Amino acid sequence: RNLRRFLSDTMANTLRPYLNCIRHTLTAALCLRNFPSQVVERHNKPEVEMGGSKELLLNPITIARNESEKCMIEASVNSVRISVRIKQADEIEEILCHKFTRFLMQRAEQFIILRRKPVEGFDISFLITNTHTETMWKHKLVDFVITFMEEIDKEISQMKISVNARARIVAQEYMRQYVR
Amino acid sequence: SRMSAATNFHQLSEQGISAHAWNGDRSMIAICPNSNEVHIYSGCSNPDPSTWTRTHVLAEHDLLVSGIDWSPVTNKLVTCSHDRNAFVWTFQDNEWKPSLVILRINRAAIDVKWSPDGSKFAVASAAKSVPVCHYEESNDWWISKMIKKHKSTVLEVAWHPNNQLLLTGCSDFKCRIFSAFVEECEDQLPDGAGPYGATQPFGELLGEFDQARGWVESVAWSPSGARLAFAGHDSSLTVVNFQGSQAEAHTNRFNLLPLSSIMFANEDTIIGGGHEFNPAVFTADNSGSFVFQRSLDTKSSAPAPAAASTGGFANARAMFQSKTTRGQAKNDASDSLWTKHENVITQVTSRDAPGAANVTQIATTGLDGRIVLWRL
Repeated sequence: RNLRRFLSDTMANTLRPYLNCIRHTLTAALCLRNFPSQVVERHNKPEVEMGGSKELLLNPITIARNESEKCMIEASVNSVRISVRIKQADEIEEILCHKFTRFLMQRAEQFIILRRKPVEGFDISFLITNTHTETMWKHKLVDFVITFMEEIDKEISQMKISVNARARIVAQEYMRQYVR
Repeated sequence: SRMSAATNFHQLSEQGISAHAWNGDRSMIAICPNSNEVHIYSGCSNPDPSTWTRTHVLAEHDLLVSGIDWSPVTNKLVTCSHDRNAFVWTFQDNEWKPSLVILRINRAAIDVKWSPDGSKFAVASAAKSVPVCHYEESNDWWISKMIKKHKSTVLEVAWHPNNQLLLTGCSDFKCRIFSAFVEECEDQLPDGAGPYGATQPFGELLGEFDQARGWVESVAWSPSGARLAFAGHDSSLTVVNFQGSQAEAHTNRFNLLPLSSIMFANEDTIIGGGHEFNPAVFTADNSGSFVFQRSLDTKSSAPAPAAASTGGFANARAMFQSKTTRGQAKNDASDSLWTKHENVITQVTSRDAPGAANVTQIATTGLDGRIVLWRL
């Protein structure tokens, strides 16, 4: 038990600076403006998704907590793409993470800023454009992304615990028939 | 003065204000409420913006109106839009009538400015060019001459007081000076008349500055034309001083989010508004470099007034409203921002007489739909 507490303390120590760093980077990256396309007349597209005009894209920044958890922020003049790689320590967590993010991404319309497909190498991605920063508070958008990253780890741990508990109960019930 | 700037603000639009312009005597304002329309308000000499009345709506554009300018000399309005068009509006018989402008760009227009004498205007466009338009009497339209040489979208233009030099800010990280001399409009200037001496042919690139490490979002000349400034997306402000035709640049990187719009209040003071939602004042130090002095908006120490409780039903409705829009039952005070602007400041303009050497009254509009009046 002491070892577990020690490990969770050190884990918590890296979480705050990681999230603070992401918060500051996002606040700077989300300085967007309405920018009509240079390539197609009368069109207005998120430049980070189009990728055509290199001068409109900022350098992508990856903030990594460790090898398995990181966050990549790609910014441009009118849009920002935030991709998150969630910690998946074993197979059960991998399956749970995959199912959970799939559930969220299928409902991307309700989340407004969620991208339907994650960027290559990551588990989930957000796309925030200038229309979002015009209609919603920027500091609340940043809060949402940070809270999301905090909560998702907790959610997956909870789900794993309940999966294990359920498996134990099922196994007990099954074995009961062999015990006199 | 170090006194906190007295302010008045008002929500003019729910969707945000993309551009605004004052008329010559500051009694009327034209704004675009982030749509394809232009709304004109009068009664603006009154310092309380809630008393202003909307008198005209101009609806000729198809897409967002990105730039508006009002000439104090001719009283004509010019508007430009993402639909690649621009219109010049003349006030006749109590109505604003549009005139045709042959802009010849095949991408969106981002910004438009009248020259100081009102005979021509320049448009910053996503076609990587700047058309400069003047009136042709024989066909009753405005025709354009193109300034090319930009490598990316031109974000803002600014005219020198001598009516012939044009400053442009571009998303290829450079700020450039061109000659925009149009012989149908004016005479040539003799040597010594400005930073680059005698008049150069139209479209000639006279100077290029690459001190910004980000998109050059705003450019401005000082009232005398002996200085220019440009703001970059890397949170930098570069000021260039001219001694004859020698240019000396000073760049200052400040610890705030980038500026979207700058203007000179006088030769030694620049006001900038941008992503901090708070106008910032930069003043010149002895070496000619401009440093951040203060922000105009300050947090008031008085506690926020408690929301009036009008009854059980109103409270219950507010709680459900809050749950659907914010996902929480209470309207927490820490949700709202203390600054007068709640979103990016898109434009900073002077409310003093046009061409004034020392501006003390300014106005800012932002994507939150508010207009705030400040006194320096």
